[in-house]
Amino acid sequence: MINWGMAVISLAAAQGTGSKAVANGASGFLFSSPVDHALVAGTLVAICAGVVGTFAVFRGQSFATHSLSDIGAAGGAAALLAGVTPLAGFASMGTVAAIALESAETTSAKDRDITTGVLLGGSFGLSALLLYLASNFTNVSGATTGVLFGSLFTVSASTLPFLAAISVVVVLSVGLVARRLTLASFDPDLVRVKGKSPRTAGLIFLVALGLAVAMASLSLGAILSAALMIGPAASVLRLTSRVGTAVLTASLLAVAETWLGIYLAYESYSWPPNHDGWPASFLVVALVLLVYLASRGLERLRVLMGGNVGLSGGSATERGRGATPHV
Amino acid sequence: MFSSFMVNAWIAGTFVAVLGGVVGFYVVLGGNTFAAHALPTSAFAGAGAAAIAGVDPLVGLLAFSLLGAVGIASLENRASQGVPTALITTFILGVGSLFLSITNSYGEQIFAVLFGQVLGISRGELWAIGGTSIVCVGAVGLMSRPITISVLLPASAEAAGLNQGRMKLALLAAVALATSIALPVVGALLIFTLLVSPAASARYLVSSLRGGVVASVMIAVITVWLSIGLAYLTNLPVGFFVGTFGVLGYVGARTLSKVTSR
Repeated sequence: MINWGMAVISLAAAQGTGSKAVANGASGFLFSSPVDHALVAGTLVAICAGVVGTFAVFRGQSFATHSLSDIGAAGGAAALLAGVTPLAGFASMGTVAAIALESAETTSAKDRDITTGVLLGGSFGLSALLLYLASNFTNVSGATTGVLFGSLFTVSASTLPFLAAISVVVVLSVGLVARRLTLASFDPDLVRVKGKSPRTAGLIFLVALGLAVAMASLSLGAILSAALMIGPAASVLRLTSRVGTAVLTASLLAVAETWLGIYLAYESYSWPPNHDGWPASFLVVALVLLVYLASRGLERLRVLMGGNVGLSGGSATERGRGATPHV
Repeated sequence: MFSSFMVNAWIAGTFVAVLGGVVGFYVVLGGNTFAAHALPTSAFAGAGAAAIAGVDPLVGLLAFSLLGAVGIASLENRASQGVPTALITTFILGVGSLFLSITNSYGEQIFAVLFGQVLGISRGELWAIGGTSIVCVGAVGLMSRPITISVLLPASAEAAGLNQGRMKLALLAAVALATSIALPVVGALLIFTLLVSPAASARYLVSSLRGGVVASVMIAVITVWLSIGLAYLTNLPVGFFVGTFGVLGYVGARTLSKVTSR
Protein backbone atom coordinates (compact mmCIF):
# COMPACT_ATOMS: atom_id res chain seq x y z
CA MET A 1 0.00 0.00 0.00
CA ILE A 2 1.07 3.55 -0.41
CA ASN A 3 3.03 4.43 2.65
CA TRP A 4 2.59 8.15 3.04
CA GLY A 5 4.50 8.17 6.29
CA MET A 6 7.62 7.21 4.34
CA ALA A 7 6.92 9.77 1.68
CA VAL A 8 6.83 12.60 4.11
CA ILE A 9 9.85 14.20 5.64
CA SER A 10 9.14 16.09 8.78
CA LEU A 11 9.53 19.80 8.42
CA ALA A 12 11.04 19.84 11.87
CA ALA A 13 14.15 18.12 10.45
CA ALA A 14 14.51 20.62 7.64
CA GLN A 15 14.01 23.51 10.02
CA GLY A 16 16.47 22.01 12.46
CA THR A 17 19.34 21.84 9.94
CA GLY A 18 18.60 25.40 8.88
CA SER A 19 18.70 26.71 12.40
CA LYS A 20 21.89 24.83 13.24
CA ALA A 21 23.59 26.14 10.12
CA VAL A 22 22.77 29.66 11.18
CA ALA A 23 23.52 29.16 14.86
CA ASN A 24 26.96 27.66 14.23
CA GLY A 25 28.30 30.62 12.34
CA ALA A 26 26.35 33.15 14.24
CA SER A 27 28.59 35.51 16.08
CA GLY A 28 26.72 38.37 14.44
CA PHE A 29 24.31 39.01 11.61
CA LEU A 30 26.91 39.92 8.96
CA PHE A 31 29.59 37.49 10.15
CA SER A 32 27.60 34.33 9.61
CA SER A 33 28.35 32.62 6.32
CA PRO A 34 24.82 31.25 5.70
CA VAL A 35 23.58 34.80 6.17
CA ASP A 36 26.23 36.18 3.78
CA HIS A 37 25.29 33.63 1.11
CA ALA A 38 21.61 34.35 1.70
CA LEU A 39 22.20 38.08 1.28
CA VAL A 40 24.18 37.67 -1.97
CA ALA A 41 21.73 35.14 -3.45
CA GLY A 42 18.74 37.16 -2.24
CA THR A 43 20.09 40.35 -3.85
CA LEU A 44 20.70 38.69 -7.25
CA VAL A 45 17.25 37.10 -7.18
CA ALA A 46 15.57 40.36 -6.15
CA ILE A 47 17.20 42.41 -8.93
CA CYS A 48 16.05 39.94 -11.59
CA ALA A 49 12.60 39.73 -9.98
CA GLY A 50 12.22 43.51 -10.12
CA VAL A 51 13.35 43.80 -13.74
CA VAL A 52 11.33 40.88 -15.12
CA GLY A 53 8.38 41.40 -12.77
CA THR A 54 7.75 44.94 -14.02
CA PHE A 55 7.17 43.73 -17.57
CA ALA A 56 5.25 40.65 -16.40
CA VAL A 57 2.82 42.82 -14.42
CA PHE A 58 2.08 45.39 -17.06
CA ARG A 59 1.72 42.67 -19.68
CA GLY A 60 -0.93 41.09 -17.42
CA GLN A 61 1.05 37.88 -16.94
CA SER A 62 0.74 37.44 -13.19
CA PHE A 63 -1.03 34.09 -13.58
CA ALA A 64 1.69 32.93 -16.02
CA THR A 65 4.38 34.01 -13.54
CA HIS A 66 2.68 32.19 -10.71
CA SER A 67 2.20 29.09 -12.88
CA LEU A 68 5.82 29.02 -14.07
CA SER A 69 6.94 29.03 -10.44
CA ASP A 70 4.61 26.18 -9.52
CA ILE A 71 5.52 24.18 -12.63
CA GLY A 72 9.18 24.65 -11.66
CA ALA A 73 8.52 22.54 -8.56
CA ALA A 74 8.44 19.45 -10.79
CA GLY A 75 11.89 20.43 -12.13
CA GLY A 76 13.26 20.95 -8.64
CA ALA A 77 12.01 17.51 -7.59
CA ALA A 78 13.48 15.93 -10.75
CA ALA A 79 16.86 17.51 -9.93
CA LEU A 80 16.78 16.05 -6.41
CA LEU A 81 16.02 12.65 -7.90
CA ALA A 82 18.87 12.99 -10.41
CA GLY A 83 21.23 14.26 -7.71
CA VAL A 84 22.02 17.59 -9.40
CA THR A 85 21.52 21.08 -7.99
CA PRO A 86 17.83 22.09 -7.77
CA LEU A 87 18.68 25.29 -9.68
CA ALA A 88 19.34 23.20 -12.82
CA GLY A 89 15.93 21.56 -12.47
CA PHE A 90 14.06 24.80 -11.79
CA ALA A 91 15.79 26.55 -14.71
CA SER A 92 15.27 23.83 -17.33
CA MET A 93 11.66 23.19 -16.29
CA GLY A 94 11.00 26.96 -16.27
CA THR A 95 12.39 27.37 -19.80
CA VAL A 96 10.49 24.38 -21.22
CA ALA A 97 7.23 25.53 -19.59
CA ALA A 98 7.72 29.09 -20.85
CA ILE A 99 8.14 27.84 -24.43
CA ALA A 100 5.12 25.54 -24.08
CA LEU A 101 2.95 28.39 -22.77
CA GLU A 102 4.00 30.78 -25.53
CA SER A 103 3.54 28.24 -28.33
CA ALA A 104 0.05 27.14 -27.24
CA GLU A 105 -2.37 28.77 -29.66
CA THR A 106 -4.79 30.86 -27.66
CA THR A 107 -7.42 33.27 -28.86
CA SER A 108 -8.22 35.34 -25.77
CA ALA A 109 -6.87 36.16 -22.33
CA LYS A 110 -9.48 33.82 -20.80
CA ASP A 111 -8.46 31.01 -23.15
CA ARG A 112 -4.80 31.64 -22.29
CA ASP A 113 -5.57 31.40 -18.57
CA ILE A 114 -7.42 28.09 -19.02
CA THR A 115 -4.59 26.54 -21.08
CA THR A 116 -2.09 27.76 -18.49
CA GLY A 117 -4.30 26.25 -15.80
CA VAL A 118 -4.47 22.83 -17.46
CA LEU A 119 -0.66 22.76 -17.91
CA LEU A 120 -0.24 23.84 -14.28
CA GLY A 121 -2.60 21.10 -13.14
CA GLY A 122 -0.62 18.50 -15.06
CA SER A 123 2.63 19.71 -13.56
CA PHE A 124 1.23 19.31 -10.02
CA GLY A 125 0.67 15.66 -10.86
CA LEU A 126 4.26 15.36 -12.05
CA SER A 127 5.49 17.08 -8.87
CA ALA A 128 3.48 14.64 -6.76
CA LEU A 129 5.15 11.70 -8.51
CA LEU A 130 8.70 13.10 -8.47
CA LEU A 131 8.55 14.28 -4.84
CA TYR A 132 7.18 10.90 -3.83
CA LEU A 133 10.02 9.14 -5.65
CA ALA A 134 12.65 11.58 -4.34
CA SER A 135 11.44 11.01 -0.77
CA ASN A 136 11.35 7.23 -1.07
CA PHE A 137 14.35 6.39 -3.21
CA THR A 138 16.98 8.98 -2.32
CA ASN A 139 18.24 9.95 1.10
CA VAL A 140 17.68 13.66 0.57
CA SER A 141 15.93 14.96 3.66
CA GLY A 142 13.19 17.56 3.51
CA ALA A 143 12.54 17.07 -0.22
CA THR A 144 8.93 18.26 -0.20
CA THR A 145 9.40 21.29 2.02
CA GLY A 146 12.76 22.22 0.51
CA VAL A 147 11.47 22.28 -3.06
CA LEU A 148 8.13 23.91 -2.29
CA PHE A 149 9.04 26.41 0.41
CA GLY A 150 12.79 26.82 -0.09
CA SER A 151 15.27 28.22 2.35
CA LEU A 152 17.59 31.13 1.71
CA PHE A 153 19.87 29.93 4.49
CA THR A 154 20.67 26.69 2.69
CA VAL A 155 21.97 28.31 -0.54
CA SER A 156 25.51 26.99 -0.93
CA ALA A 157 28.54 29.03 -1.99
CA SER A 158 28.99 26.89 -5.12
CA THR A 159 25.54 27.92 -6.39
CA LEU A 160 26.32 31.64 -6.25
CA PRO A 161 28.34 31.85 -9.54
CA PHE A 162 25.48 30.09 -11.39
CA LEU A 163 22.98 32.52 -9.89
CA ALA A 164 25.16 35.44 -11.01
CA ALA A 165 25.50 34.05 -14.55
CA ILE A 166 21.73 33.50 -14.91
CA SER A 167 21.06 37.02 -13.55
CA VAL A 168 23.27 38.51 -16.28
CA VAL A 169 21.45 36.49 -18.97
CA VAL A 170 18.04 37.50 -17.62
CA VAL A 171 18.79 41.22 -17.31
CA LEU A 172 20.50 41.37 -20.74
CA SER A 173 17.71 39.56 -22.57
CA VAL A 174 15.03 41.72 -20.98
CA GLY A 175 17.08 44.80 -21.89
CA LEU A 176 17.25 43.54 -25.48
CA VAL A 177 13.48 43.30 -25.89
CA ALA A 178 12.38 45.98 -23.40
CA ARG A 179 11.47 48.59 -25.99
CA ARG A 180 9.55 46.12 -28.17
CA LEU A 181 7.76 44.65 -25.13
CA THR A 182 6.62 48.06 -23.98
CA LEU A 183 5.36 48.96 -27.43
CA ALA A 184 3.74 45.56 -27.97
CA SER A 185 1.85 45.81 -24.68
CA PHE A 186 0.21 49.04 -25.73
CA ASP A 187 0.05 48.66 -29.49
CA PRO A 188 1.03 45.30 -31.08
CA ASP A 189 0.25 46.65 -34.56
CA LEU A 190 2.90 49.34 -34.26
CA VAL A 191 5.56 46.67 -33.69
CA ARG A 192 4.34 44.74 -36.74
CA VAL A 193 4.46 47.91 -38.84
CA LYS A 194 8.09 48.30 -37.88
CA GLY A 195 8.69 44.84 -39.37
CA LYS A 196 9.33 43.07 -36.09
CA SER A 197 7.40 40.19 -34.59
CA PRO A 198 5.85 40.87 -31.19
CA ARG A 199 5.76 37.12 -30.73
CA THR A 200 9.57 36.69 -30.77
CA ALA A 201 9.90 39.40 -28.14
CA GLY A 202 7.18 37.67 -26.13
CA LEU A 203 9.00 34.34 -26.32
CA ILE A 204 12.40 35.80 -25.32
CA PHE A 205 10.67 37.54 -22.42
CA LEU A 206 8.83 34.44 -21.26
CA VAL A 207 12.11 32.44 -21.22
CA ALA A 208 13.71 35.24 -19.16
CA LEU A 209 10.67 35.04 -16.89
CA GLY A 210 11.14 31.28 -16.57
CA LEU A 211 14.80 31.73 -15.59
CA ALA A 212 14.07 34.52 -13.11
CA VAL A 213 11.32 32.42 -11.52
CA ALA A 214 13.78 29.51 -11.28
CA MET A 215 16.25 31.69 -9.35
CA ALA A 216 13.50 32.90 -7.04
CA SER A 217 12.32 29.31 -6.52
CA LEU A 218 15.74 28.39 -5.19
CA SER A 219 15.62 31.09 -2.54
CA LEU A 220 11.91 31.40 -1.67
CA GLY A 221 10.71 27.95 -2.74
CA ALA A 222 8.77 27.07 -5.86
CA ILE A 223 5.28 27.96 -4.68
CA LEU A 224 6.21 31.24 -2.97
CA SER A 225 8.58 32.73 -5.55
CA ALA A 226 5.88 34.42 -7.65
CA ALA A 227 5.27 36.90 -4.81
CA LEU A 228 8.69 38.51 -5.22
CA MET A 229 8.26 38.69 -8.99
CA ILE A 230 4.82 40.28 -8.93
CA GLY A 231 4.58 42.18 -5.63
CA PRO A 232 7.31 44.85 -5.84
CA ALA A 233 6.61 45.49 -9.53
CA ALA A 234 2.86 45.81 -8.96
CA SER A 235 3.43 48.14 -5.99
CA VAL A 236 5.71 50.40 -8.02
CA LEU A 237 3.57 50.40 -11.17
CA ARG A 238 0.68 51.82 -9.15
CA LEU A 239 2.73 54.89 -8.36
CA THR A 240 4.84 55.63 -11.43
CA SER A 241 4.02 55.76 -15.12
CA ARG A 242 7.59 55.58 -16.46
CA VAL A 243 8.74 52.06 -17.33
CA GLY A 244 12.44 52.85 -16.74
CA THR A 245 11.77 54.29 -13.29
CA ALA A 246 9.48 51.37 -12.51
CA VAL A 247 12.16 48.77 -13.39
CA LEU A 248 14.75 50.52 -11.21
CA THR A 249 12.50 51.12 -8.20
CA ALA A 250 10.92 47.66 -8.39
CA SER A 251 14.40 46.10 -8.23
CA LEU A 252 15.42 48.31 -5.31
CA LEU A 253 12.14 47.55 -3.51
CA ALA A 254 12.57 43.79 -4.08
CA VAL A 255 16.15 43.97 -2.72
CA ALA A 256 14.99 45.94 0.33
CA GLU A 257 12.14 43.49 1.03
CA THR A 258 14.53 40.53 0.71
CA TRP A 259 17.15 42.05 3.01
CA LEU A 260 14.59 42.98 5.64
CA GLY A 261 13.10 39.47 5.38
CA ILE A 262 16.53 37.85 5.89
CA TYR A 263 17.27 40.17 8.82
CA LEU A 264 13.93 39.37 10.46
CA ALA A 265 14.45 35.63 9.86
CA TYR A 266 17.82 35.92 11.62
CA GLU A 267 16.26 37.85 14.49
CA SER A 268 13.36 35.40 14.69
CA TYR A 269 15.55 32.80 16.42
CA SER A 270 14.74 34.70 19.59
CA TRP A 271 11.00 34.95 18.81
CA PRO A 272 8.16 32.87 20.30
CA PRO A 273 6.79 30.26 20.25
CA ASN A 274 9.67 27.83 19.74
CA HIS A 275 12.78 30.02 19.41
CA ASP A 276 13.88 28.04 16.36
CA GLY A 277 13.30 30.70 13.74
CA TRP A 278 10.45 31.71 11.47
CA PRO A 279 10.74 30.71 7.79
CA ALA A 280 12.57 33.44 5.83
CA SER A 281 10.31 32.78 2.81
CA PHE A 282 7.22 33.59 4.87
CA LEU A 283 8.71 36.84 6.19
CA VAL A 284 9.69 38.03 2.69
CA VAL A 285 6.26 37.17 1.26
CA ALA A 286 4.50 38.92 4.17
CA LEU A 287 6.57 42.09 3.60
CA VAL A 288 5.77 41.96 -0.12
CA LEU A 289 2.01 41.82 0.56
CA LEU A 290 2.20 44.64 3.16
CA VAL A 291 4.05 46.94 0.76
CA TYR A 292 1.57 46.15 -2.03
CA LEU A 293 -1.42 46.96 0.19
CA ALA A 294 0.31 50.18 1.29
CA SER A 295 0.89 51.18 -2.34
CA ARG A 296 -2.82 50.63 -3.08
CA GLY A 297 -3.67 52.93 -0.18
CA LEU A 298 -1.16 55.53 -1.36
CA GLU A 299 -2.55 55.40 -4.89
CA ARG A 300 -6.09 55.93 -3.65
CA LEU A 301 -4.89 58.92 -1.66
CA ARG A 302 -3.23 60.36 -4.77
CA VAL A 303 -6.35 59.87 -6.89
CA LEU A 304 -8.41 61.61 -4.20
CA MET A 305 -6.00 64.53 -4.32
CA GLY A 306 -6.27 64.65 -8.11
CA GLY A 307 -2.78 63.43 -8.97
CA ASN A 308 -1.56 61.00 -11.64
CA VAL A 309 -1.82 57.25 -11.23
CA GLY A 310 0.64 54.59 -12.32
CA LEU A 311 0.59 52.16 -15.23
CA SER A 312 -1.27 49.35 -13.54
CA GLY A 313 -3.58 51.29 -11.28
CA GLY A 314 -6.98 52.82 -11.73
CA SER A 315 -9.44 52.30 -14.52
CA ALA A 316 -8.67 52.39 -18.22
CA THR A 317 -9.95 55.95 -18.55
CA GLU A 318 -7.84 57.13 -15.65
CA ARG A 319 -4.88 55.46 -17.28
CA GLY A 320 -5.51 57.15 -20.60
CA ARG A 321 -5.79 60.53 -18.96
CA GLY A 322 -3.00 60.16 -16.49
CA ALA A 323 -0.11 58.47 -18.17
CA THR A 324 1.64 57.37 -21.31
CA PRO A 325 4.71 55.16 -21.26
CA HIS A 326 8.03 56.97 -21.61
CA VAL A 327 10.73 54.48 -22.60
CA MET B 1 -9.24 -3.19 -5.05
CA PHE B 2 -12.81 -3.12 -3.71
CA SER B 3 -12.11 -4.26 -0.17
CA SER B 4 -13.85 -2.50 2.70
CA PHE B 5 -11.32 0.28 3.28
CA MET B 6 -11.16 1.01 -0.45
CA VAL B 7 -14.95 1.42 -0.65
CA ASN B 8 -14.73 4.69 1.28
CA ALA B 9 -12.11 5.94 -1.17
CA TRP B 10 -14.27 5.12 -4.20
CA ILE B 11 -17.36 6.79 -2.74
CA ALA B 12 -15.48 9.90 -1.55
CA GLY B 13 -13.65 10.15 -4.89
CA THR B 14 -16.94 10.01 -6.79
CA PHE B 15 -18.55 12.75 -4.66
CA VAL B 16 -15.50 14.96 -5.10
CA ALA B 17 -15.42 14.36 -8.85
CA VAL B 18 -19.10 15.24 -9.33
CA LEU B 19 -18.68 18.40 -7.27
CA GLY B 20 -15.46 19.36 -9.07
CA GLY B 21 -17.08 18.83 -12.45
CA VAL B 22 -20.11 21.03 -11.64
CA VAL B 23 -18.32 23.89 -9.84
CA GLY B 24 -15.38 23.74 -12.27
CA PHE B 25 -17.70 24.24 -15.23
CA TYR B 26 -18.77 27.65 -13.95
CA VAL B 27 -15.20 28.50 -12.94
CA VAL B 28 -13.96 27.88 -16.49
CA LEU B 29 -16.99 29.60 -18.01
CA GLY B 30 -16.20 32.76 -16.07
CA GLY B 31 -12.44 32.53 -16.58
CA ASN B 32 -11.83 32.34 -12.82
CA THR B 33 -9.00 29.84 -13.26
CA PHE B 34 -6.55 31.74 -11.11
CA ALA B 35 -8.99 32.06 -8.21
CA ALA B 36 -9.66 28.31 -8.43
CA HIS B 37 -5.95 27.80 -7.89
CA ALA B 38 -5.75 30.37 -5.10
CA LEU B 39 -8.52 29.04 -2.83
CA PRO B 40 -7.24 25.46 -2.41
CA THR B 41 -3.82 26.81 -1.55
CA SER B 42 -5.44 29.09 1.05
CA ALA B 43 -7.12 26.06 2.53
CA PHE B 44 -3.68 24.53 2.96
CA ALA B 45 -2.87 27.07 5.69
CA GLY B 46 -6.24 26.26 7.28
CA ALA B 47 -5.16 22.68 7.92
CA GLY B 48 -2.15 24.02 9.86
CA ALA B 49 -4.27 26.52 11.80
CA ALA B 50 -6.72 23.78 12.79
CA ALA B 51 -3.85 21.63 14.05
CA ILE B 52 -2.59 24.51 16.21
CA ALA B 53 -6.04 25.37 17.55
CA GLY B 54 -6.82 21.69 18.10
CA VAL B 55 -10.11 21.75 16.16
CA ASP B 56 -11.38 19.56 13.32
CA PRO B 57 -9.29 20.10 10.16
CA LEU B 58 -12.46 20.66 8.10
CA VAL B 59 -13.22 23.79 10.18
CA GLY B 60 -9.77 25.22 9.43
CA LEU B 61 -10.04 24.39 5.72
CA LEU B 62 -13.46 26.04 5.46
CA ALA B 63 -12.45 29.14 7.40
CA PHE B 64 -9.29 29.81 5.39
CA SER B 65 -10.69 29.09 1.95
CA LEU B 66 -13.71 31.33 2.65
CA LEU B 67 -11.31 34.00 3.95
CA GLY B 68 -9.37 33.70 0.69
CA ALA B 69 -12.62 33.98 -1.33
CA VAL B 70 -13.61 37.19 0.47
CA GLY B 71 -10.10 38.64 0.13
CA ILE B 72 -9.89 37.94 -3.60
CA ALA B 73 -13.44 39.13 -4.33
CA SER B 74 -12.84 42.41 -2.51
CA LEU B 75 -9.34 43.27 -3.80
CA GLU B 76 -9.56 42.02 -7.40
CA ASN B 77 -10.98 44.27 -10.12
CA ARG B 78 -10.72 44.50 -13.89
CA ALA B 79 -7.55 46.61 -13.86
CA SER B 80 -5.61 44.61 -11.31
CA GLN B 81 -5.21 41.54 -13.57
CA GLY B 82 -4.65 38.87 -10.97
CA VAL B 83 -1.97 40.66 -8.95
CA PRO B 84 -3.96 40.64 -5.66
CA THR B 85 -4.87 36.96 -6.19
CA ALA B 86 -1.20 36.05 -6.69
CA LEU B 87 -0.04 37.96 -3.63
CA ILE B 88 -2.83 36.75 -1.33
CA THR B 89 -2.20 33.14 -2.42
CA THR B 90 1.53 33.23 -1.82
CA PHE B 91 1.04 35.05 1.49
CA ILE B 92 -1.42 32.45 2.78
CA LEU B 93 0.90 29.67 1.59
CA GLY B 94 3.66 31.42 3.53
CA VAL B 95 1.43 31.50 6.61
CA GLY B 96 0.91 27.78 6.03
CA SER B 97 4.66 27.17 6.02
CA LEU B 98 4.92 29.21 9.24
CA PHE B 99 2.23 27.05 10.90
CA LEU B 100 4.10 23.98 9.70
CA SER B 101 7.28 25.16 11.33
CA ILE B 102 5.41 25.83 14.61
CA THR B 103 3.58 22.49 14.82
CA ASN B 104 6.05 19.72 14.29
CA SER B 105 3.38 17.03 14.50
CA TYR B 106 1.53 18.53 11.55
CA GLY B 107 4.72 18.68 9.46
CA GLU B 108 4.49 14.96 8.87
CA GLN B 109 1.30 15.36 6.87
CA ILE B 110 2.47 18.06 4.48
CA PHE B 111 2.75 15.81 1.44
CA ALA B 112 -0.71 14.35 2.07
CA VAL B 113 -2.25 17.81 2.51
CA LEU B 114 -0.72 19.12 -0.72
CA PHE B 115 -1.05 16.03 -2.89
CA GLY B 116 -3.87 14.05 -1.30
CA GLN B 117 -4.36 10.81 0.57
CA VAL B 118 -7.37 9.07 -0.83
CA LEU B 119 -6.98 6.01 1.37
CA GLY B 120 -7.22 7.70 4.74
CA ILE B 121 -10.93 8.49 4.60
CA SER B 122 -13.05 7.41 7.56
CA ARG B 123 -16.78 6.69 7.64
CA GLY B 124 -17.42 9.98 9.49
CA GLU B 125 -15.55 12.01 6.89
CA LEU B 126 -17.53 10.26 4.20
CA TRP B 127 -20.79 11.61 5.66
CA ALA B 128 -19.32 15.12 5.76
CA ILE B 129 -18.06 14.85 2.17
CA GLY B 130 -21.37 13.46 0.88
CA GLY B 131 -23.54 16.00 2.70
CA THR B 132 -21.46 19.02 1.68
CA SER B 133 -21.29 17.83 -1.94
CA ILE B 134 -25.06 17.55 -2.20
CA VAL B 135 -25.62 20.96 -0.58
CA CYS B 136 -22.96 22.57 -2.78
CA VAL B 137 -24.19 21.05 -6.06
CA GLY B 138 -27.75 22.02 -5.11
CA ALA B 139 -26.73 25.62 -4.38
CA VAL B 140 -24.84 25.92 -7.66
CA GLY B 141 -27.83 24.40 -9.47
CA LEU B 142 -30.15 27.02 -7.97
CA MET B 143 -27.74 29.82 -8.87
CA SER B 144 -26.85 28.50 -12.31
CA ARG B 145 -29.04 30.98 -14.20
CA PRO B 146 -27.83 34.19 -12.55
CA ILE B 147 -24.21 32.93 -12.57
CA THR B 148 -24.37 32.13 -16.29
CA ILE B 149 -25.91 35.49 -17.13
CA SER B 150 -23.46 37.49 -15.05
CA VAL B 151 -20.54 35.57 -16.58
CA LEU B 152 -21.59 35.63 -20.23
CA LEU B 153 -23.58 38.86 -20.44
CA PRO B 154 -22.23 41.21 -17.78
CA ALA B 155 -24.08 44.22 -19.19
CA SER B 156 -27.55 42.63 -19.14
CA ALA B 157 -26.85 41.17 -15.71
CA GLU B 158 -26.37 44.64 -14.34
CA ALA B 159 -29.51 45.82 -16.12
CA ALA B 160 -31.43 42.94 -14.54
CA GLY B 161 -30.26 44.09 -11.13
CA LEU B 162 -27.69 41.35 -10.46
CA ASN B 163 -24.80 42.49 -8.32
CA GLN B 164 -21.64 41.36 -10.16
CA GLY B 165 -19.43 41.47 -7.08
CA ARG B 166 -21.90 39.39 -5.11
CA MET B 167 -22.22 36.81 -7.93
CA LYS B 168 -18.44 36.45 -8.08
CA LEU B 169 -18.33 36.04 -4.30
CA ALA B 170 -21.04 33.35 -4.49
CA LEU B 171 -19.09 31.43 -7.11
CA LEU B 172 -15.84 31.74 -5.15
CA ALA B 173 -17.66 30.58 -1.99
CA ALA B 174 -18.79 27.46 -3.90
CA VAL B 175 -15.17 26.86 -4.94
CA ALA B 176 -14.09 27.33 -1.32
CA LEU B 177 -16.66 24.79 -0.12
CA ALA B 178 -15.69 22.30 -2.82
CA THR B 179 -12.06 22.82 -1.89
CA SER B 180 -12.56 22.10 1.79
CA ILE B 181 -14.18 18.75 1.26
CA ALA B 182 -12.02 17.66 -1.68
CA LEU B 183 -8.73 18.49 0.01
CA PRO B 184 -8.45 15.31 2.09
CA VAL B 185 -8.99 13.26 -1.08
CA VAL B 186 -6.88 14.85 -3.81
CA GLY B 187 -4.84 17.43 -1.89
CA ALA B 188 -4.64 21.21 -2.07
CA LEU B 189 -2.73 21.45 -5.34
CA LEU B 190 -4.70 18.89 -7.34
CA ILE B 191 -8.20 20.14 -6.48
CA PHE B 192 -7.38 22.82 -8.99
CA THR B 193 -6.70 20.18 -11.67
CA LEU B 194 -10.04 18.55 -10.95
CA LEU B 195 -11.85 21.90 -11.17
CA VAL B 196 -10.23 23.14 -14.37
CA SER B 197 -9.20 20.26 -16.62
CA PRO B 198 -12.49 18.32 -17.01
CA ALA B 199 -14.46 21.54 -17.54
CA ALA B 200 -11.91 22.91 -20.02
CA SER B 201 -12.05 19.63 -21.98
CA ALA B 202 -15.88 19.60 -21.89
CA ARG B 203 -15.94 23.04 -23.52
CA TYR B 204 -14.32 21.57 -26.62
CA LEU B 205 -16.70 18.62 -26.82
CA VAL B 206 -20.14 20.06 -26.03
CA SER B 207 -21.47 23.48 -26.89
CA SER B 208 -24.69 23.61 -24.85
CA LEU B 209 -24.57 24.72 -21.23
CA ARG B 210 -26.43 21.78 -19.71
CA GLY B 211 -24.52 19.30 -21.87
CA GLY B 212 -21.28 21.00 -20.84
CA VAL B 213 -21.99 20.46 -17.14
CA VAL B 214 -22.87 16.81 -17.73
CA ALA B 215 -19.76 16.20 -19.87
CA SER B 216 -17.57 17.96 -17.34
CA VAL B 217 -18.92 15.77 -14.51
CA MET B 218 -18.48 12.61 -16.57
CA ILE B 219 -14.88 13.42 -17.46
CA ALA B 220 -14.12 14.27 -13.81
CA VAL B 221 -15.66 11.02 -12.54
CA ILE B 222 -13.80 8.89 -15.10
CA THR B 223 -10.53 10.71 -14.29
CA VAL B 224 -10.93 10.07 -10.55
CA TRP B 225 -11.95 6.42 -10.94
CA LEU B 226 -9.04 5.64 -13.25
CA SER B 227 -6.66 7.52 -10.95
CA ILE B 228 -7.74 5.71 -7.78
CA GLY B 229 -7.57 2.34 -9.54
CA LEU B 230 -4.12 2.98 -11.01
CA ALA B 231 -2.80 4.44 -7.74
CA TYR B 232 -3.92 1.26 -5.99
CA LEU B 233 -2.30 -0.99 -8.60
CA THR B 234 0.99 0.89 -8.96
CA ASN B 235 1.47 2.30 -5.43
CA LEU B 236 2.18 5.74 -6.95
CA PRO B 237 0.53 8.96 -5.66
CA VAL B 238 -3.09 9.39 -6.84
CA GLY B 239 -2.36 13.04 -7.70
CA PHE B 240 0.08 12.03 -10.40
CA PHE B 241 -2.67 10.21 -12.29
CA VAL B 242 -5.25 12.98 -11.77
CA GLY B 243 -2.80 15.53 -13.20
CA THR B 244 -1.74 13.38 -16.14
CA PHE B 245 -5.29 12.44 -17.16
CA GLY B 246 -6.26 16.09 -16.85
CA VAL B 247 -3.70 17.18 -19.43
CA LEU B 248 -4.27 14.16 -21.70
CA GLY B 249 -8.04 14.71 -21.67
CA TYR B 250 -7.65 18.38 -22.52
CA VAL B 251 -5.19 17.78 -25.37
CA GLY B 252 -7.43 14.97 -26.64
CA ALA B 253 -10.57 17.13 -26.55
CA ARG B 254 -8.83 20.02 -28.33
CA THR B 255 -7.49 17.75 -31.05
CA LEU B 256 -10.87 16.06 -31.47
CA SER B 257 -12.70 19.38 -31.86
CA LYS B 258 -10.09 20.57 -34.37
CA VAL B 259 -10.41 17.40 -36.45
CA THR B 260 -14.22 17.37 -36.45
CA SER B 261 -14.53 21.08 -37.26
CA ARG B 262 -12.51 20.65 -40.44
